[in-house]
Amino acid sequence: MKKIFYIVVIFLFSFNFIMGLQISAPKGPPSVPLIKMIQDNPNYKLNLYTDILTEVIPKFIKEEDNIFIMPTNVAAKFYNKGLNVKILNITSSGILYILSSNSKINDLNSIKNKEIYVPAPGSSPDILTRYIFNKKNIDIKIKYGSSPEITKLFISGRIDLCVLPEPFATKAINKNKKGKRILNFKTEWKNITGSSNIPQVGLVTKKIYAQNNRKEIIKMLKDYKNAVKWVNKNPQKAAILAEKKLGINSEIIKKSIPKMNLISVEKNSAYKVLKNYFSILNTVNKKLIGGKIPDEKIIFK
Amino acid sequence: MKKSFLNKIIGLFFLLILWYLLSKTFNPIILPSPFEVANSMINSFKNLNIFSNLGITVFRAFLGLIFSFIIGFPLGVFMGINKTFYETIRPLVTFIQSMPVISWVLLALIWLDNKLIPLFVVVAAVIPIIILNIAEGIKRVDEKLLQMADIYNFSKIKILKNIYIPSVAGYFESSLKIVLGNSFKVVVMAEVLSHPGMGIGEQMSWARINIETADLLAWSIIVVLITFFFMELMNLFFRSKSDKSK
Repeated sequence: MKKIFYIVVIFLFSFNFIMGLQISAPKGPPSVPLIKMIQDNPNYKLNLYTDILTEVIPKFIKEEDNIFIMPTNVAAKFYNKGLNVKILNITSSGILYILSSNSKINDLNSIKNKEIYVPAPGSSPDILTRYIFNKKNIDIKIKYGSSPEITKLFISGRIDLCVLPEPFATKAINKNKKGKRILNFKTEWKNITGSSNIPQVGLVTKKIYAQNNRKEIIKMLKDYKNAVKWVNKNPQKAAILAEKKLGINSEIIKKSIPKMNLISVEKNSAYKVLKNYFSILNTVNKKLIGGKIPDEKIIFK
Repeated sequence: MKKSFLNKIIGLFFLLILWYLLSKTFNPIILPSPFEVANSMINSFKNLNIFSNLGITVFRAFLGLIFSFIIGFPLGVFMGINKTFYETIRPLVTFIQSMPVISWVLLALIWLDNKLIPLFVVVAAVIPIIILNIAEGIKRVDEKLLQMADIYNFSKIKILKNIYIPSVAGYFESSLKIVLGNSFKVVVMAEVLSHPGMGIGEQMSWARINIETADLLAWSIIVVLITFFFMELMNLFFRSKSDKSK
């Protein structure tokens, strides 16, 4: 009897050790606190991905045991299509900037009829860019590329106007002397919607997984919040930690961290900003969130 | 004739039932039911933008085919006539033919403006087939017939009309058949990756981004229907032509 007890204990122990919590995140701002977390606690496993369409969406549909940093509008789409998802938190209040290296382009009005490069068609940067210019009645010509491509083109001077998320925006400006930020999306968002929080991305998981691992997830969210605080306070140290994983120079990450607006908003306050965000996306195009504004059950509480 | 038509209907019906049953066991993101797909098709017809997307895709495919024939036909003829030319050009043509279509798309993404990519890719995919088929047709012209024409002192135009054209026509027809079916698939693939702004592939890409599996299937079925329609049209054309010549 005793023997069996030991075996069970060892089994449970090792099981727990192997399982840990799997978190998948893009090679971008939200992973900076996650990198700090796995440093402190090896039970967290971090997978970094580069393309959401091929690496995240198919995996999320098929697998149960994973937590993803993903665009909140994608989570809403899943929710409206009958996949039971839970948004655990919002990880940033705004990471998008408009950059210009043209001395004649200094504000939104001077962009009129100009070509502007935007990452990934249909992604939240694309949606938000079109929404803002539409609201201001400014016609623009949108061209697409991936964030790294656009950064390269901007640095080499082949394009002089683009929308980029952090840390690419910082990298682009750092390496192009004429480059400057002409708009922080957060500011314009506040002018239009009254809220300065753009809840573009967050931690998301399946409902079943959230129910079965409630305790671990609550602890993880607490750790994440602390990691966010630590990163915001120690950008230098965080940058050195993140350098290898993200493949970006630590100097750039350090300068980028204050511009990433890292936060961790959960529960009711998360739903409040998300509801606002979703209702705006829904007026742009119903397909962006899958037809209707998700109810409160989409939030993990 | 009637019976085979009935069999086709039954086959299609079984396929639909199987699809419906399978869709019951999966989430609609993985496999939507035939009704959802039909609904999405009806919606896009209501939107009317289906016609501009469909039109531009068909236009690109045909423009690509026309370009390919304009360049490929004379090249093929010349290759058929001149053996040295055939042997020098052949490796290049085989190279273009063996290159994966996706390589052309990826290269075109670097080389060209996005709107030109689908056209370029169709030409690259189709032109070797045309060149080789036409060259083969010319080479297969009966030597004895030519000798006979020489003996009877046929004029050049007469030789062309009575010996070369009938011989090449069959090869032309078969190359057209292969190429027409392929060209729509190739255009759509190029559109998915290049985002030219309009077209069936562009819409499919958006369906993927928006995780609208029903739309994705609806557009795929539309491509199948277009291909089917043009293939049947072509068969009808060639059939009526061969009836006339009889």
